[in-house]
Amino acid sequence: MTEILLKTCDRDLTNQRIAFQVIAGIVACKMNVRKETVLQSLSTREKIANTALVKGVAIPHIILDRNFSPWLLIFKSNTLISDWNCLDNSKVNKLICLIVPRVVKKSSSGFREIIAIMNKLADDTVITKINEAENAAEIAQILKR
Amino acid sequence: MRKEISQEIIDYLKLHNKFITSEELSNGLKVSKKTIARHINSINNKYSKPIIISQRGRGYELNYSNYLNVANNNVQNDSSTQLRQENMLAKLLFASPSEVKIYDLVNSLYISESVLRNDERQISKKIHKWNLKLKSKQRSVQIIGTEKDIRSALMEVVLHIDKSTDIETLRKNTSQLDQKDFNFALSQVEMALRVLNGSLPYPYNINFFAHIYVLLIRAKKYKSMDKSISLDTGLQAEIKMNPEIFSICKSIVTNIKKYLGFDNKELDPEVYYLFKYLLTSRFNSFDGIVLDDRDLADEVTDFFICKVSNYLHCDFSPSIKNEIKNHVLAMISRLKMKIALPNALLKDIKLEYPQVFKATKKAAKLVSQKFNLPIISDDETGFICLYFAKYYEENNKPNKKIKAYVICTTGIGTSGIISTKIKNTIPEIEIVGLASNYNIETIIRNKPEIELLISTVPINYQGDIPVELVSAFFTKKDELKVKNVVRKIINDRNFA
Repeated sequence: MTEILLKTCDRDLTNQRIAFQVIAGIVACKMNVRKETVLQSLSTREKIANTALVKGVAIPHIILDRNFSPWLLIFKSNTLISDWNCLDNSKVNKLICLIVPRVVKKSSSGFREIIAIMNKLADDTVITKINEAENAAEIAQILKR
Repeated sequence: MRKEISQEIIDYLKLHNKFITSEELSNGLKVSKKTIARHINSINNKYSKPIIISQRGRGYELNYSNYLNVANNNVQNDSSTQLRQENMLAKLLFASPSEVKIYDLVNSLYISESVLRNDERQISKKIHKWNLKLKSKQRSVQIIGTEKDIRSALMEVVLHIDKSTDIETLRKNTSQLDQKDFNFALSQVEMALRVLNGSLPYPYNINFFAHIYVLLIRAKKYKSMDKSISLDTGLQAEIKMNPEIFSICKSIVTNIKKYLGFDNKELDPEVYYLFKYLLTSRFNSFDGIVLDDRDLADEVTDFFICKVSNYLHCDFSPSIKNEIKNHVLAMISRLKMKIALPNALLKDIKLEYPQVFKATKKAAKLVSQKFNLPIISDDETGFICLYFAKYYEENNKPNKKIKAYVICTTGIGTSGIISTKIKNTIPEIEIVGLASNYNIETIIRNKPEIELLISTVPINYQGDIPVELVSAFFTKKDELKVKNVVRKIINDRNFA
């Protein structure tokens, strides 16, 4: 698993707007793009369909028009994001942000790893473990296992 | 003609063993519904009890017990005439090119001359397929044709290789045969395979055996061979490329000469006939045969796959090419060398896979024209059809899995999560891929086999493939929704 795959961060995020602002700031800096572009992508995807799963876990997407290897940014908020509901009506407080190019090449490094992590998220026991994690680094460890 | 359609109707109903609508019969047998109804009336009027029952709204079904009763009685009448005509044809073929006196035929078959004339007409029609002609003189009858065609006819008439798929069945079917000759011919096939360290699959095993057997019985009765074959330059070149095969053929002919007690060279040209035959057979596990037409076989195979795929709207797996190619290579040699390969399965193939056979036949016609090859017979077409039928059936099984594509905005995010869940919860679905909703049109264009789209985001698609929108975590509710669609697709398939 390459390091680019999992960046972790612990913050207090109280609502979705603040959460998106924080995510956009980190991603814009790392990818050298405008923060507004990242924000636009996050909210556009979220308007199409909610990316929240269950037990406080959401997987917001950032889709950028450039070529790069997909990676993940993981957040653990100590407070619940009050205006972001999961399918089981729990409030989101764990974010696994997926940062991908618009055209994902199967040959790109990180592709297989991302697919493997998504497969893990389909497992209820993994979601339970993530729910019990105390910080973002612990979530990353669960996904790397 | 009428008899053939009637028989086809009976065969069709026998095979399907349920009520069949007149429309299905009409489509299956490529005749109008009126013709079907006329023939069914005629079949039922022929017997005291109807063998085909009809029900409004359901169609036709074979009354199997009535059918068995009449079939048993009928076999006796039809088979005695058929057997007599076969005996007569065998006598004429064995004697050819010499004439047979009518007096001898009438006396040996215990028939009147008027019956004999009728039999001659039937035999004339029958031998047309081997390019043979029946010539009647005032007091004698004679079959005219090439030695190769006479032997092809003998293989079918005497050994019934067109009705058998293994050598032991030939033995059972032909109880009149001299078992010593039969065993000797069989020993020569076994020797050839032992020396070449290969095995011959059906139909080559039966045909090679039949060739040796007919060679043996013809040699006993008619020894003057056409020697011009040994001067064929094309054949000489093939011999140079395949010395092991030629050497085996020489050994077989030497053994036959010993067996028959011949010590002259009259049988020597048989080596070339035998070589031609063995060369055009496909050996399993023996790669020693060198044929010149590998590139042509490659092109012909590609052309066959392309055309049959188009006609059937079916994507064949790329692996089919390797399977067909070797068969096509041997077929091209047979076509060029004018070697017939009777197909005992042809009737069943036509009945079981009518669409695939039709598509293969259409493609075969184009192959002959495009590659300037002799006409590809129905027998040969039937063999090629089987390769396609195997895959076609697999793809069109009513209980085959539903091919689905899973869509999300990235093609690796939520689609990845739900595809794992679908695999675990709905075994009827085969996920053929994940994709981004931006690629939807391209995917549908390139993957016509897709039957269901499952998406975690609303998608803008107006086509016929059902789209099921589900949540990013594929909840129990989503599972139920998708299961309902799956049930509907399976029902539609069965209904179709």
